[in-house]
Amino acid sequence: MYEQKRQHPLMIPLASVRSTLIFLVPMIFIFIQNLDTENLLRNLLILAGAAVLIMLVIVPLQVLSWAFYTYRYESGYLHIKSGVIFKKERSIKRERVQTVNIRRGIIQRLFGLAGLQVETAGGGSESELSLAAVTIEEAYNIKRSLEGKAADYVSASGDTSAEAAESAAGEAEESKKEKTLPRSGLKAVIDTAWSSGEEAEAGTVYRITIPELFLAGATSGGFFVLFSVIGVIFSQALPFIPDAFWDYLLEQVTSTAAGTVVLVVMVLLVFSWSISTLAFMVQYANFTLQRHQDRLLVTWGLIEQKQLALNLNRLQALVMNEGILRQPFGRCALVAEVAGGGSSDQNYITLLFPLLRTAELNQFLGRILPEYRMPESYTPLPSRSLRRYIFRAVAPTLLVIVPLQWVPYGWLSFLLFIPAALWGYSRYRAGGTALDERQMVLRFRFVNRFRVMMLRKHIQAFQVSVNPFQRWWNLRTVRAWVLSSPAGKAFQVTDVEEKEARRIWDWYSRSD
Amino acid sequence: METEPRERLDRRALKAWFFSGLVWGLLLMIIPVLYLNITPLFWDLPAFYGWLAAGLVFLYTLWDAVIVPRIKLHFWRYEIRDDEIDIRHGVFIIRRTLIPMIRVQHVDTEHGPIMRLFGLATLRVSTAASEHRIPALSREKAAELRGEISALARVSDEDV
Repeated sequence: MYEQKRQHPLMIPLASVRSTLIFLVPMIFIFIQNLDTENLLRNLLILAGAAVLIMLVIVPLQVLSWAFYTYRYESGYLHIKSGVIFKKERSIKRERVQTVNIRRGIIQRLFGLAGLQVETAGGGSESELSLAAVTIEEAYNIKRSLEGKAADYVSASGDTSAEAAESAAGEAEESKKEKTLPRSGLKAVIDTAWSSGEEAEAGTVYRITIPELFLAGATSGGFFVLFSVIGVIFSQALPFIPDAFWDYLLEQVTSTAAGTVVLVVMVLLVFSWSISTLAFMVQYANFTLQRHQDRLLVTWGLIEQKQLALNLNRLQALVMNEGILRQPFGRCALVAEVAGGGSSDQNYITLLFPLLRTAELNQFLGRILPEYRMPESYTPLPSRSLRRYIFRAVAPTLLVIVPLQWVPYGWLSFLLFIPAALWGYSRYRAGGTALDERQMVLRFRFVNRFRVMMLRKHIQAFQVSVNPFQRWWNLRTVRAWVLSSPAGKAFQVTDVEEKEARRIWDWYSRSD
Repeated sequence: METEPRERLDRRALKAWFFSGLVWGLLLMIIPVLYLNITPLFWDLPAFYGWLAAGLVFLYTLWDAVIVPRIKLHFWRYEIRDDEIDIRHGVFIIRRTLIPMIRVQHVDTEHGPIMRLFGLATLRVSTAASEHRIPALSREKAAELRGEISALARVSDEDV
């Protein structure tokens, strides 16, 4: 176990092909640009020749870097030596390891390989270390040795990663009871196998069901972005659409020009909506979240399986994000603010669960994260805050409305007041704060409604601010900082009652 | 929260801020001066805009170098307690910030050329997520506070 090892030799062809492709892409572009049928064969030959030449350079380089890249692990340490000319040696201590991620791309899975990423405390690229291709058993061995005793459990229990699980510790896989929560789309799998350990604590597993996954994708709002992209592409493609097609649409289907436009927009909308839903479903398929003692384990993905072990001491705040499209369904997403790691996929890291019933959140937290709790009631904003919220929402629309007064029918733009005021009102309604002994919850809305749960020990600093108007109305803005990679984050609620701001201040203050 | 923090900044802050405001004002003044002197050689542009800009720069400098420092100094208060740092500051928006000692990651002092000229320094307190400054302390006071805070930050390891 302690000898100096190399990565799997398959890494050489994999890495060679990848870097050759990087060099070839611009050439392929040129090739396609100058596509003409006469010289097709000749151009193809040139392309192939270039590929061979590049390979001739790259393959030996990859062989060398493979040969000189060695690692060794013993309990608690991972040593890596690398570099052909410039030698580099790094040792990573178990205590400094924040997370060990195992990820398996489609090609790696084909060959029974896995990539391993070790993240240590502190940000920056230097805090990370990765092995591109090792066998699965090896990956799990390293993971176990780095994560120590607390972590030697089956990490993935999903069916898609069954082989990974069995090579890690197949014995824990067998006895697993599934039960479905009443009136819930979620399945809770009680992992009784875990009780074989010293602490007889059952880890709870939440796995997203297909209908919930579909709803999550359908309401993710991703189609807005996609729609605008597709719209741009479509407008570029317009000249290439034959007139006969438009004539057909106009005569046979819609009969008016306006109808045609509406139809085309509708079709594009539905198209981008289905694509984005599908993409979301593929990306987050088999999403599972489980709790084992002091860590959370998240796995997801269909094509590329991803797995993340999150130590609870890295969790700095819990954010419940009620998307504007999800609110009507009574659903929300659960997101974590995480300290350290500095990995390239921050976005995934912070997603704890893509879709939950808001009403069942407390039950969910009770099983997975009893440290946090949804408060039963919030201190709402005082009614005199409402005018300030409405003013802040309505005032910017004047920038549009005033210039439009010189345009015929410009007075119609005053109608903008209505949605703006409604938006201000709903922001006012969303504002609120809640305290208990250990945790503070801030509730606010920009477009989505957020509830940010912060433990007192995770709040880095707290601020109460007041401008002259707020002072007149006896209102305050409260703001709390929490640690979140790469820098800190501040959450705030505007125009809370002065008394409430003082209550939070006294709650947070350590002196009396 | 009723008890406001007790300590104030050094009075010399007024001079330092006046001076740096003045320097900024002079730098800004270069723009209208250039406009008034250079452009007539090449183009025929109304001089009015140049005088307007100069006036605006003058007013801004008056505000920035004379009025704001007074308001700032009036509201600036801080207090270093055993377990937390309490800061109040602001000109238009008054902010009151509370930083627990156990959250303090590091504390340092810094001084630019102007601050050094007046024997002043800025104390900078960083938590893992935020950064807070107490500007314009006398240099001895800043060094003393830095020592005090880093000692206190080390001592306090609460249950949390």
